[in-house]
Amino acid sequence: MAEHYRVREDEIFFILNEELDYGSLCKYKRYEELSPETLDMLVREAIRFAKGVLEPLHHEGERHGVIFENGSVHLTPGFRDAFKKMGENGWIAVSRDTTYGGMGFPQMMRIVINEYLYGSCLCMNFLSSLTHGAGHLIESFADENLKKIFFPNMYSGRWSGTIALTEPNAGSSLANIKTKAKREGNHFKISGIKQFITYAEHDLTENIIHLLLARIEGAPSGTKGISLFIVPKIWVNEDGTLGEPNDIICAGVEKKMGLHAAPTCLMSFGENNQCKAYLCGQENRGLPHMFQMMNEARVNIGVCSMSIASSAYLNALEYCKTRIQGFDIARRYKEEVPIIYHPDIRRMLLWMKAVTEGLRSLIYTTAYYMDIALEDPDESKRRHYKLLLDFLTPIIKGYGADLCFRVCETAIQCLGGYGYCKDYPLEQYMRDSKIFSIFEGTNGIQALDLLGRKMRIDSGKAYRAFFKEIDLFLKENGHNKNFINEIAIFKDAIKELKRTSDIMIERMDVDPLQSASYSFPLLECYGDIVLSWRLLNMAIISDNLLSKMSDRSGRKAYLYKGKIFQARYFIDVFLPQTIARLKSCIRDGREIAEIPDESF
Amino acid sequence: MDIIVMIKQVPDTTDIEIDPKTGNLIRSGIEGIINPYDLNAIEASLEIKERIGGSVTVISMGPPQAIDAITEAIGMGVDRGILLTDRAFAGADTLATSFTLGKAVEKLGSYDLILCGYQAIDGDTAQVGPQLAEYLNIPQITSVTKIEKVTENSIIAIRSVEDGYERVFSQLPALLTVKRELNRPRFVRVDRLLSACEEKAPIDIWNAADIGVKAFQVGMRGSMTEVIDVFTPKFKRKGKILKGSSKDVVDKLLSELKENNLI
Repeated sequence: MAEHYRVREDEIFFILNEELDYGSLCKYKRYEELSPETLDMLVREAIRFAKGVLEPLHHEGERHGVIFENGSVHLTPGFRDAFKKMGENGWIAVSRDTTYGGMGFPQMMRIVINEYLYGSCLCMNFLSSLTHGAGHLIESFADENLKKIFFPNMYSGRWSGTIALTEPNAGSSLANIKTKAKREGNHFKISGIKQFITYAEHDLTENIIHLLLARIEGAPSGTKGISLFIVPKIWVNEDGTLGEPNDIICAGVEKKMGLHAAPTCLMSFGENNQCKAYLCGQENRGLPHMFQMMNEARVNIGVCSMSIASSAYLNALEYCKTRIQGFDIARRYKEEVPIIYHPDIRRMLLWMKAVTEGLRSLIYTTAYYMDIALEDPDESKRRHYKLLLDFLTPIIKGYGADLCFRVCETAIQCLGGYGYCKDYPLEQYMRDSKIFSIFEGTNGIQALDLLGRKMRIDSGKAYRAFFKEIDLFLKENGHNKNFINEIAIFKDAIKELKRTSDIMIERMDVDPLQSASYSFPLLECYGDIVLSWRLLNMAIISDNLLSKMSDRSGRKAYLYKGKIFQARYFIDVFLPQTIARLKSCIRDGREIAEIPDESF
Repeated sequence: MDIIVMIKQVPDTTDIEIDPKTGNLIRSGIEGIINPYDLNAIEASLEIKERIGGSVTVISMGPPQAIDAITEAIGMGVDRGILLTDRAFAGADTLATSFTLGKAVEKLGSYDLILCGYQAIDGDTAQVGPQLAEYLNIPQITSVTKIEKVTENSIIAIRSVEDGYERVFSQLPALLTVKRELNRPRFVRVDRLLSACEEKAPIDIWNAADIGVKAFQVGMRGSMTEVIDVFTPKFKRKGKILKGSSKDVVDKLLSELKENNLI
């Protein structure tokens, strides 16, 4: 079972080329030396690299796990070579600036290639993403000298990075951070405990660079007194040479439900008061700095979710096509049939197909917006797409994470008893993906971020930008005669979404308990509706392409037909339920807020 | 050491489906890839270059889109690529192909070593490498599974034969055809891929006139063989029930198996 990861290039290139025309990003000055063909080649090479180098490590990592001995963490032997190759071959910093050792591709490409790198070996690519995230923080906020010291080593994979935020009493609420920093000459001394730190200790790289949040002595309390620091495992002198090991101890690793190959560490910094650190960025601006990384990480969780869900669906599909069991319910065939002939199996497959492809379209589209938001010469356009990106991020993270888990569970169901066994990759997918709804801000926090911040900040600019984009879509496509029914349902859903959202925004001021009680169902409704938006868009494009084809029995024709079937199914079957659920978000019943604690 | 590697862009057969109605391969929409054996040849050339220096040039004959294969090879680390593309080259059999490649090698001038994949996965002939060596009148070592030693003017390689392996010494220049066991091809480096996609990338495109050949010498007109038809063989099971006593049945079975050369 070495090969577990399944990916369909034609599905990917449909979204990239037919739906988004992503090659058009090369018109921006920053990317003018690139061509659409180069982007296509990067995608294909990323898939080849992922399948060739990372995929074999998925099972090897699960088998080997994490070995913790005398404060050291030993990981799957193959990981070391793979991470080195990721760095040397340029996959860690595909979208980073060439000035700093990056490859200079559009931001979107990092998201796109991450689909294949995560899908092939989730645990391995977390190290790459963390290193990228830590490096990007240094690139954005540290002074020039520190950039020169750290980048070449991090982006080339010689050193890895971590993000050290969580403490035993500061998880979802980072305002409670207690780790201290004391100025000492040109640097700081750190003391404190950090928990749940992924890849904080391991034997894969020469050095580990922790990007850590701590409070400088005398800083204000709460979130406004937190600063960001660079804390190397082996001290890095200002001339770039390595010094003594820093005063950092790995006190333990967690035993987890999934992600068995990636260490989740409990770290003690400065037990002997000798843990040295560099300040990264401005004092007391650590949290805003960190949120740059956090927003990227949240979109990345969406990517993990989509990638694993898609592979789970394709694994289930393959099984259902080949597993012969039972007779056709309509007696169309004399012999027993592959289970894909059974209506209930088809129901599950079609749902999985629709949600995974819809999620991919949503994430790639959002990734495309990232580059418009950064590079378009028109300032108002940049602002609009930045707002959209902000607005869609908690939906991608929260809705995507839950969808992934449900797809894995449904894929297992398709396989019956075999799905529950380790002979197939699905049970591991399901265990591994549970964390997606928990880390980088739980899904509950994503819902509050959407309702409490994104829908309300700057007098609701991001919220309005979202509905403006939907209006634009309906203006262009709302009269399409081939999708009258679907467009009508979609319009109803948008109308109800707007009405419900307006009421809940208002309630957040006058009755926050009641409004927040339904923030998560609201996020799910947004998820269903943005997914429908992308599915409908893909279906309309496909319908148009199909109408121009003379032979409608080839692979491409089936690809296009699939887009139409999945959109009709999802919108006709699920959006009416979403509309009903939206109504329930603004009901008057106050059970959630008022049930006494003692009555639980 | 100057090394030339011959590469071919072939359809990705892992992605090919059979048309259930006609039984033919559905090739439309299939991506082209570098013939997998040729990847081993590229890897071998790069390893030799890293050990003893020199340069690696890849040559490919094919339609304009075969430039993607050359781009990928440069992404892996080769120094230069040459695409031989001309309508006159179309429909070439292995002899016409090796002749065309030979002419390109002659135009290039000096070289020490030529590496080819053992065969292409779309044709499975394994003839182009040997025919090219014959045309250039240089020694050849086919089916190479290990390169034991390379110096400036000689090579020792292990080649697989039906019942084992042979260890072969050759003076250079020579031509090797290599098998998959030889090595694990490296992956593309993104920075090299970027350079390969630039306008000033070291890729030359040569047509028939550039290599000094006439249209009747190459392509279909220059070929000695012609493919009349391509079809999927139809297998039909033949059932036969043997009757009689157990002894008779076993005797009949044995004699039938012997008659059909099955035992």
